[in-house]
Amino acid sequence: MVFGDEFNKLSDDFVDRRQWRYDPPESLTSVGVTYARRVELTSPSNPFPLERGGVLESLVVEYETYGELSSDGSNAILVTHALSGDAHAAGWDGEARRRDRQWRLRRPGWWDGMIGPGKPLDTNRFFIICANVIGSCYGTTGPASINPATGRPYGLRFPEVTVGDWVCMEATLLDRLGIDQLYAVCGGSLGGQQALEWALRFPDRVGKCLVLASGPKLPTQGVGFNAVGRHAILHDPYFRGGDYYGQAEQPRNGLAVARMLAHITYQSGKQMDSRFGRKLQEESMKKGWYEVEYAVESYLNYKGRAFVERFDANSYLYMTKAMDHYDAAAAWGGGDLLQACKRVKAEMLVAAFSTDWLYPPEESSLFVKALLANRIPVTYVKIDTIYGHDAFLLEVERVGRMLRAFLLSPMPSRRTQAQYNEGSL
Amino acid sequence: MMDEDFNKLPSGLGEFFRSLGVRSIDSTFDQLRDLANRQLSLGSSGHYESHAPKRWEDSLIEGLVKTGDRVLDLGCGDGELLVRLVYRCGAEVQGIETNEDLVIRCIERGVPVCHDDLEQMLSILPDRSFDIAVMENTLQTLVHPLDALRGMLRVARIGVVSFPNFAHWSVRLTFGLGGRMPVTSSLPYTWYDTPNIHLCSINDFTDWVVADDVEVLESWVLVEGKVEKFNGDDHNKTAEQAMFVIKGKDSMPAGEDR
Repeated sequence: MVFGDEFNKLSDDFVDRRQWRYDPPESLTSVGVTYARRVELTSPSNPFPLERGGVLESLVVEYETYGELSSDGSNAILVTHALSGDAHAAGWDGEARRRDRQWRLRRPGWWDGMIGPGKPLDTNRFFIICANVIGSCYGTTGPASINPATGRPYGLRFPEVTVGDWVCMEATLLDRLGIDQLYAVCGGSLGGQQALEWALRFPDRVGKCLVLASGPKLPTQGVGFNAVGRHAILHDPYFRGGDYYGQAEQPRNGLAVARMLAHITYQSGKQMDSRFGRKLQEESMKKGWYEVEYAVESYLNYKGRAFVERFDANSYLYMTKAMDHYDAAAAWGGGDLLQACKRVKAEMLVAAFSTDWLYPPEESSLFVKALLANRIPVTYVKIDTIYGHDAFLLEVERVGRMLRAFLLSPMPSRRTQAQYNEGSL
Repeated sequence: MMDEDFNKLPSGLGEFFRSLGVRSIDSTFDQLRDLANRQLSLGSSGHYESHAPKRWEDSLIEGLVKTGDRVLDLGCGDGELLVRLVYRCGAEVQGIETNEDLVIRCIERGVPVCHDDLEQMLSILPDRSFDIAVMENTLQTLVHPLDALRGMLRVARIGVVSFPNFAHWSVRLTFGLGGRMPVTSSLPYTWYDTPNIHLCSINDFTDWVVADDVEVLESWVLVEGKVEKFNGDDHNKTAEQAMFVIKGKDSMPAGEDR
């Protein structure tokens, strides 16, 4: 049925284009062209200590800001990024070509649908900060950075980092920017873990805490998925114990496999069914029987290849490890989540997505229970979606509606509590 | 200098202005401030007085709630009752609602709300985590109404439950003589689109109260649009709706609910 296939292909393209309709930089709702800033948070006498031991002699952080800080500094929102994210949360990178980040020429920041004038995280109203975390590979010090002690890239000699380190780094950065109180901290997935850690580690500095598709710990299934990804990287013949920088051959296959698996876990079966079904790839007849056959295979291959272009295998190891290790209950409640949640003073929003494999709604409701048991008012939203874990990025309209409402809501309930300092509001 | 101008405002108003995006340098700032001052001088609660509650139960529930009480509303809808309880009674509130649009309304109003099935939510809430649990006109739509009632008495000190009376004379008339499923002001649905799956009469409810050894603290009924204290059998015929304030027997150990 030639007609049928053609039709499907056309309508598919159409859907894709509609779905990925980006705001051009000149749009009134885009933050426009952005330029990342870099700041060194350490000095020779003042290294940055890490939770799991060791210090960073030199810590440079890349961050971006959108909107303007109000005179009393009360409108700052920290957006925390996920595993493969970066500081470039919205707008179009003005330095994409110069800094050899070609993929940024084709699309705006990772949360462009949410951040901008008139968007849910309204830059007319709020001052939004997003910083690349330690160990990542987008401008902040990580395993690909030069070790000042040896003059060569760190590789696996880079100290282990944790979500707590990232939050401390963000807090130090905010100190530098002169921001004491955050109006809100907001993140999804690994970023949600950071948002939650903020509410636990610096309860007095956070007004509202928005945790999307995340929770106090990564459930076992997710740890398993991450382990497979790391296995693929560590056993790539070109990995060379992490010292592959400057080599002709890079651990590209391992990283691509890790990403392909991860990408499956970010989606749902339903979504893959509706998007690819059992459609065959066009040139499937030309290759051997073991070659790429289904559309979904070719899509995953593409995703893997594209990821290799923009990510560092060592960073993937460090970031997934931090994700696995994060356990709010152990860190703040001696293993008891109820005890840990006692620390929270922020107004909480927890959003779970019905088809999320990594942080299923059942896990989120346990977290909500722990908050409610501590008499902390919680807004918990369970969104019915086919987009799986990535829904926090893809369900822009529904998630946006909720974020907008929550960010602007007066939250009168907390004002009746004595612990809530009215002056800081 | 902007802050100084805002500081002259009554407490809370500056923040409200800021949330509207008003700045002290705006040309309308002075007018807005004067308008707000005039409105506020009408009395501390004058502003809310003009909004009459939509449901007859709401004002009665307001009378039950004391400052600082923690109130759980099971099926809170758009959060209207909870907003009233926050502003008028100084309560701490938490809502549970399944409809996504209503949840967004709650969030916009600043009512903390859990978007989940209330029966599921009740099962995970810890014992005695609330002072008052409210279930307005929701009981008859639940799959396991008795579990929900028992759950309510487990998580809260007292429960407030209201429901339409299926033994009202108009119901009896339309069904008994008319031979059709009753459609009345309290039961405005036709048989095919009703959310009500477990309807009961006042007598049915009081039977359960006795059987489950539940203490009734107060009870009201709505008779021809007027609120009356519930007293005995006659109301089972004349009352359109009923509201009971109930309390579990403290001697009943938690967990031995069923």
